[in-house]
Amino acid sequence: MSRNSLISLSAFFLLSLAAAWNGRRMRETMQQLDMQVALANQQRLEMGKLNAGFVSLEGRPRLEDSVVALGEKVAPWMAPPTPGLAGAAIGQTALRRAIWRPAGGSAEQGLEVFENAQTMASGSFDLALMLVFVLPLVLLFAPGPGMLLLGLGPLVSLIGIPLAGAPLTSADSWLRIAVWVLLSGLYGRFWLLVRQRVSAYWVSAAVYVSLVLLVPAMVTAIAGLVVPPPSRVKLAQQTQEALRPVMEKTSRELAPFYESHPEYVEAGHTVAQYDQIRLRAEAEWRAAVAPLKQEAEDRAVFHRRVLDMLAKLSPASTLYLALLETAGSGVSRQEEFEASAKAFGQKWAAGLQARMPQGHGLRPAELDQLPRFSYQEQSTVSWLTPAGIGLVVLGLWGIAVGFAKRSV
Amino acid sequence: MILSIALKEWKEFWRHRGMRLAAIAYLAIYAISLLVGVTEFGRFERDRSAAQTGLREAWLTQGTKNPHAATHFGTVAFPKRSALSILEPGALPYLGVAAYLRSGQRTGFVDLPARDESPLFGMIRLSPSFCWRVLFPFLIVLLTYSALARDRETGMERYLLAVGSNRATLIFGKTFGVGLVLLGTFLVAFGFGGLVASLAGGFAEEDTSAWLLLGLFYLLFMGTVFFLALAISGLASSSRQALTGGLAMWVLVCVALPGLAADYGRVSTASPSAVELSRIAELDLEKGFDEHPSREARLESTLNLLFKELGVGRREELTVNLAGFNFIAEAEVESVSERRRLGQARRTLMEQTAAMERASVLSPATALDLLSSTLAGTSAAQQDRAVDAAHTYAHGLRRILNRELAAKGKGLGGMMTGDRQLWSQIDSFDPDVPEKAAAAAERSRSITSLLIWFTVAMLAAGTVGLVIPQLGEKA
Repeated sequence: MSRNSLISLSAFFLLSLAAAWNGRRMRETMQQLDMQVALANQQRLEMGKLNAGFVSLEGRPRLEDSVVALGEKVAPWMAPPTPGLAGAAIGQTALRRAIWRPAGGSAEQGLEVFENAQTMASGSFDLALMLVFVLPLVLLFAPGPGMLLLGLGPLVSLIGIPLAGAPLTSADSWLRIAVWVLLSGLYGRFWLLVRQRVSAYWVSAAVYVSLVLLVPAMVTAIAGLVVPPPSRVKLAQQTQEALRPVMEKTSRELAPFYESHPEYVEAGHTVAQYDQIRLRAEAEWRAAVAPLKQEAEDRAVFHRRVLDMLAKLSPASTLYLALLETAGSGVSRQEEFEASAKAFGQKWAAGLQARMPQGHGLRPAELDQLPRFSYQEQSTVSWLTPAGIGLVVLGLWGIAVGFAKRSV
Repeated sequence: MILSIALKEWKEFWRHRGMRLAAIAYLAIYAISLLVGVTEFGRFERDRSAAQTGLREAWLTQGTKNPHAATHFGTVAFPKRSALSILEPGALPYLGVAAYLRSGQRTGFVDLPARDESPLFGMIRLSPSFCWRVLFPFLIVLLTYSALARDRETGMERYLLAVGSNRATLIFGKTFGVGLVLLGTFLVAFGFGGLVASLAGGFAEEDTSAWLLLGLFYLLFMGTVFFLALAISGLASSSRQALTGGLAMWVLVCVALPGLAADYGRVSTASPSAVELSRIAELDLEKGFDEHPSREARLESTLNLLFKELGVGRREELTVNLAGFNFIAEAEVESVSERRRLGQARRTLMEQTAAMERASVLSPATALDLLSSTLAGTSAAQQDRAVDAAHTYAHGLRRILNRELAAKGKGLGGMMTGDRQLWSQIDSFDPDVPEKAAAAAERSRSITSLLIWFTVAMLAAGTVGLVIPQLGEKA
């Protein structure tokens, strides 16, 4: 092996390990959210218990006498835990871990991520980006024996993923690592075949810039222009306009309770009445807004699906999306989480409603009996399907180059 | 002599089909990126303008209801964008576009555009600034790698030196030749971008100067990459080695280091999570904070204050609406708590950005990133003003309506109603466009980093070309 070859390969290897280590630190930072969600839920429950079951000395109603109001105060936050392989493919993990809560018989995103938009916009430095951007350059331009170069991606992955903090204790993790290694191997094979077919440096550079930068950039541009994601500004306006007539009506019904303050209930009304009216009102608000939200969500899903398809026009974007799905930082895990959060929201609402006929507020012991959210890791099929499609597409790219004639 | 060499480089550039194609492809991609910028800006401004009109109408026609109920209906605020966001979207995809100003809700901007998008946007987002920061440097490497290396490889350098040319003439000729091609491409494209942005978005007062500064900083960055590529070409013994080295430099400067600098900022100080902020805010309101006592004590204190002011001793004797007063008092406490916690969170985010800026000493693209997003009014910190404006607006809205209830709602209580006349006392929300020049002045560290990088790269190119004995010559 020549000196230049040794320098190139070592530089790639070291940079990849640095990326993996950086990913590990990022993952550790992200893991704080898991702890914070648990702490916040515990605090909510404890404060709820402290306030539940009290009777005002003056015999006046209290906010916590309302099952709905107390339920809202102790409703748990829900967030998917940090994916095991997140350190290897950070992507937009922070963005994909929205914080949800039960609301109005279902669940909705309760809190916006509070991340530094400036750092998020600058992207991350992780193993996935090393493979997507840098591995092709090494394979195209670094001198070295073909077999060694072919094994470079898988080798770096096998060392980098554990270094990035991936737990190696579950079968799921090992399956993900195996798929990741296969993906990097197929991607490497594609670029090695390009190297064999193209001998002029500047043509290699042109192929690189086209497939790694230009096609993915054009794909995002075209999808953004032709099938843009929904306008959240428009949705906010439509939501408010849809709520206007409904809230005009429900505000009249909730007037004796100042909209959401059963503690100030006026003579002739009871907190139990508030609970009934409030639940009905929330159902009406939801009915008014749900179609609009669904339409926006459908549009976002359509936008993403179109982009997923167009991304197959480049092996680089194919690999990137497949790696994200394999690592759990893609969209499929988020979608599964959201579905489970909505299902829990229904369970939560049913749990509260079951206690409303008692005619009194929730007792501390009853708070313990309310449903608890437990996260179910995404099914293997949900991530393996997009990752498997990625494997097939990368294989096809390799076959296509294999058939191509030797160029300049 | 210098002119002859420069002209020869020009001619070589135009004769090389691949190079011509590369430059044309770049300009085509850049034009598409401008189209993307103009479309997104136009779409946002159109939606925002329509939404503001629609929301004002919805607010005024919300019907007769209790003034406190109107605070729950509330309204929605949107930030404004500068026309320069067409050229530099900066952090916009990761900044919320709507603040729901309703009682019981925090007033931050939510609904991040990036959440609806494909994760592919996390890898690549086509924008004019992406073209300048990532694609153009690649073009620079492609056009520069052979500038010095090829002559050495083919023996032309030895020949030219043997017939009386000196090294300085060669280096300057090459620099001018390739540099002018790149400078010409840059000026045409950048000027065209500015023209499009000003026509599509209408440049405001300070936009022209911000745009010119933007061009200057881009030029410093391009110059840095150019001189680094030239230095590598001067050091390499073959064209292949020069291209490999140039591409390695491109990967480091344009791909790896900016991501690393951002991650360094992110892990240097842990972000205050929304859950944590919410938890502390809940604790604040329930148990009290600073000079504010617990919720129970606050309610008790408001009651006692009213007893004292009105000279009565029982709730039933109050001539004002107690609930209204409690709403006013609680809204004040909520506002103080929110501002306090938001201030703490912002300080953390500022520390992260400062750490990222410190890392720009190692990453000129990061310095450019921070400077250009600030000059375009699309940096994260610049939305803080809009958040503050929304917070103040929401607080004012609640105060006006709750005061109305407190003052006039004694007899009717929750049944007391307000109407269009009351709703129209509250103006529309109209934030300012982010300030640019003043904000950019705070990025002195980034400016210094860019200048240092430019100077070092220029010196490196000069040193490699003029002083260091050539590796190729040795061979």
